[in-house]
Amino acid sequence: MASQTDSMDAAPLARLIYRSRSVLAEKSADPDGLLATILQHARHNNERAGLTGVLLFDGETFVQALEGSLGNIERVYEAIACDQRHEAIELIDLSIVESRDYPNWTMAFLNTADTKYPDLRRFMTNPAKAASPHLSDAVFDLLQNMLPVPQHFTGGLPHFQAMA
Amino acid sequence: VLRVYGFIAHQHDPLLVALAAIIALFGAHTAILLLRHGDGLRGANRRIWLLAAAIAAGTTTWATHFVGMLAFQPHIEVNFAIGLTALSLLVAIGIMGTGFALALYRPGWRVRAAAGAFIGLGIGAMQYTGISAVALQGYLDWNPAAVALSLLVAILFGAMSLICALNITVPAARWAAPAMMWLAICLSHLIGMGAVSVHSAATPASLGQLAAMSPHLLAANLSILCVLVLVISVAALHLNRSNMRRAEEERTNLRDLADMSVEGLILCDGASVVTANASFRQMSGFTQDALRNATLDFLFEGTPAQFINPGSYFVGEHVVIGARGERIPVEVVRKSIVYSGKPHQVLALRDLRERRRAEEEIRFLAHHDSLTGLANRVSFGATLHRQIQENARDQKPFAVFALDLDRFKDVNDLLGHQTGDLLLQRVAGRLRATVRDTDCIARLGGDEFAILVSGPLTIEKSAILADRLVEVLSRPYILDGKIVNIGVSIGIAISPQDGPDASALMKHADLALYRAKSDGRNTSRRYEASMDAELQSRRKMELDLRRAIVHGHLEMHYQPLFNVRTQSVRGFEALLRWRHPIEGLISPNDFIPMAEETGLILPIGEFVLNASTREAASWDNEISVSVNLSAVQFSGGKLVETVRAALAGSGLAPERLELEITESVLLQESADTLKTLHQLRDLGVRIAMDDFGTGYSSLRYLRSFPFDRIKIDRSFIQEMLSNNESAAIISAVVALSQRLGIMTTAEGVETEEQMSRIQAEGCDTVQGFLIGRPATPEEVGKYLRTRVKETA
Repeated sequence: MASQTDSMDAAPLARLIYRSRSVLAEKSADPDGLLATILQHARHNNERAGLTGVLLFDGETFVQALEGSLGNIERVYEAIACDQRHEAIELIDLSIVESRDYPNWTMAFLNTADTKYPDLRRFMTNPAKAASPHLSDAVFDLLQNMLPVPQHFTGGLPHFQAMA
Repeated sequence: VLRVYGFIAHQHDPLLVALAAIIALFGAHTAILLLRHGDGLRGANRRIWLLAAAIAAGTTTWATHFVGMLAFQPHIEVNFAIGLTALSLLVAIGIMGTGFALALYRPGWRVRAAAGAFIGLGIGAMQYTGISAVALQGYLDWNPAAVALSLLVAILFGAMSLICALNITVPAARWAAPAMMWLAICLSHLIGMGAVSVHSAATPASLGQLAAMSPHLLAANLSILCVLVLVISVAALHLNRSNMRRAEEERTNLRDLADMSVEGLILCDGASVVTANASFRQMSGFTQDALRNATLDFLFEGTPAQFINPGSYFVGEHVVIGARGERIPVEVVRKSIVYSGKPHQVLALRDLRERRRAEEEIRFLAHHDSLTGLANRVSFGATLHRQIQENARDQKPFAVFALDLDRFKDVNDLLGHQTGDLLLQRVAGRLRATVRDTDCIARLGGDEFAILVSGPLTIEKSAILADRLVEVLSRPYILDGKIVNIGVSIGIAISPQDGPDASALMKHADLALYRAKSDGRNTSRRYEASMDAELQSRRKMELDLRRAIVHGHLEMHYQPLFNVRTQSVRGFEALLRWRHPIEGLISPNDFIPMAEETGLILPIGEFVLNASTREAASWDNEISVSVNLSAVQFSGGKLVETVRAALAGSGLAPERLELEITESVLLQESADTLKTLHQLRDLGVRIAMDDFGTGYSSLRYLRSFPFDRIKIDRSFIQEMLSNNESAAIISAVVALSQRLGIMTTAEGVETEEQMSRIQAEGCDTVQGFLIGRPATPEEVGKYLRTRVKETA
């Protein structure tokens, strides 16, 4: 699924997956609005840095997968690590990959509080036990099966942004 | 025209006509040349060259006319009245001078045309004055139309000549001006002569009363006069031209020199600028045109009166306002000089912008840490000092945080200094993102940071901020693709209650930091008064320990190691004791960490090695001694030498010495550590891993170095009967060791049950209170002697 730009890019393609705890509710009276702003910023920044990925959120915990060149991932990750709107960041996986799992989304968003996704809920509560490929598989399948999207759709998934 | 032609052909001597034309040509050329030269000058110079031009033009015109008159052969005797002849010369010079002056001093082509017309008229006037001077045996008859025509021609070509003469933009004007002048002279003369009819019947008009000169003498005189005038004029012109060229060259050289100067130079007359060099134009952005006639008030900020006041030399710093309105700091040197005969000022300006930038950079570097861009220790101290003074007025409590990264040294050692530096930069970024902009963050050196958290601040708030800093800095880092985890310990001192001045606050924040570190790191502690007391006692202890080393208050005790298979003591572990004169025996646990921290472990370690090997040398040959090494000894760099010296000094066989290291030694896993271990092994001594199983990844270390022995940690032994997992681990470790050919020792065996289980598991050696407690050298000696007796 690697896009054309990836194959021309000399920098190695990497994927980072981390988990963190949200403090949106403590920071803002309108956490949903804050999350929407964060997503908007993330998509903007990711587009410029050539990053794609998915953000899972169950109201308490974030799990984010970021793919792109290692240098850009490192830069964007450091900005994420400076962000005060979450805490207790754990790196679940950082590895060089052959191709992107989410080539079409600058930052897809999935609200895993929805009971329709039991696999994801399990993952959110214990990511260490679920190896990273499982996250990718689970999320990837979900995105693919449930969301027929245009090949180069990069704007995120409107009806997936709905908050619980 | 026909009439003129006939006039020339039949009534004129052709040679003299040609001479007249040549005189007119040279005269016109010279006059225009002189006039043009005068045009480029001012004042007295211009007047001189104007006069020369007038004389050249007047004389030659006059001469042309008279030679032309001489060429006239009316077949009647002709003589000239000397008075009128001389007068016509003066008229010619006067008219030429007036016309030229008009053209030179008043600009505009119309004025020049008028001046030229005036000259043309003059030529005509002179001609007719001259003709009137002719005294001949006949009378003259005038043709008015021809007279008018001759005047018109003279006026027309005269005007055109002067228009061309002072026009330097059209190249053709160069030759057109003298040509027009020549035509004005020659044509008006010819037509004028044609206007005259000579009648011979007339009575001679009182000829005898006139002093007269023969025509040929007159022609010769005139020619000589003309040639003289022209030659002198041209010579003078050339001389002047070369002078001027030299002067111009010098001026150009001077200007080039001035333009080459790095400093800006302004030449001013009083307060107005005469000229400025290229450097100043470049510095200020003004063009030469913009600078001409500018005043110093316009160029400088404020009114630098010193620039204008007379005085020989002046130096000062001022500000130039550049073309774009920018302020340019300059250093000015002022000197009075004489220029063009008048006193002027020369201002030499040095652009200080680059220097100011450099000073700014130096100031920044002096106050900031170059790696992270944070404040440095010096400027942090100054900021803190200022804050305390302000605080004395407005009483807003603020805090000083002392931060120290945990495990930074490991990152540096394992991943290199470059990664370490990158980490420090990332840490700086996270600190900036976490505290407010008004707070001052500093890197004091190494991995030490400090933050001045500006007030007003409550104790709770400072604790919350410290917790957040600990949380943010402990988030994982990705450094060049490698994941790195570190922590931070923070000590907090709050002003004013935790210290009256900067040094007290810093010291107390450091004390709190020390507590945070000893409380397990990655946490924060606020300063408490009791920390001072602790520091005091720690210092006293350090002092006591130093004394103990010197005064021999350290002593060795030895705990037996029992060989399970042979059922006999195979050696002793040397254990350090500190016999304090007042406090009695102090356990190593209470002073070794402090000794490691202060570096006292190095002399202590040397003592331990020397004392133990000496003691062991007195034992039976099969009895070995085990000595514990600290990780700090490995970084000292002299460990191998110390061990070799101890063996040589005691005479103990190397294989009877066993060195015990803990995982902390291997934690760094640096090439140096492994090299040292191999060198020790090459001496013949054996290497044991102590406290096996308590570390982070014990099994990994078995791969990095081929140990001779593993000492299974006492915690497993103590739990082996109650905890199946501990028992399983012991079995596994023993089995693993046997496979790897490594001996095993069980530590802390205290009961018979433990002993029998251990024996069953297959450990070669046991150690613990069941076998024997640490004993003094005397007790060991006595035991060994008794044992010999028993076996004997």
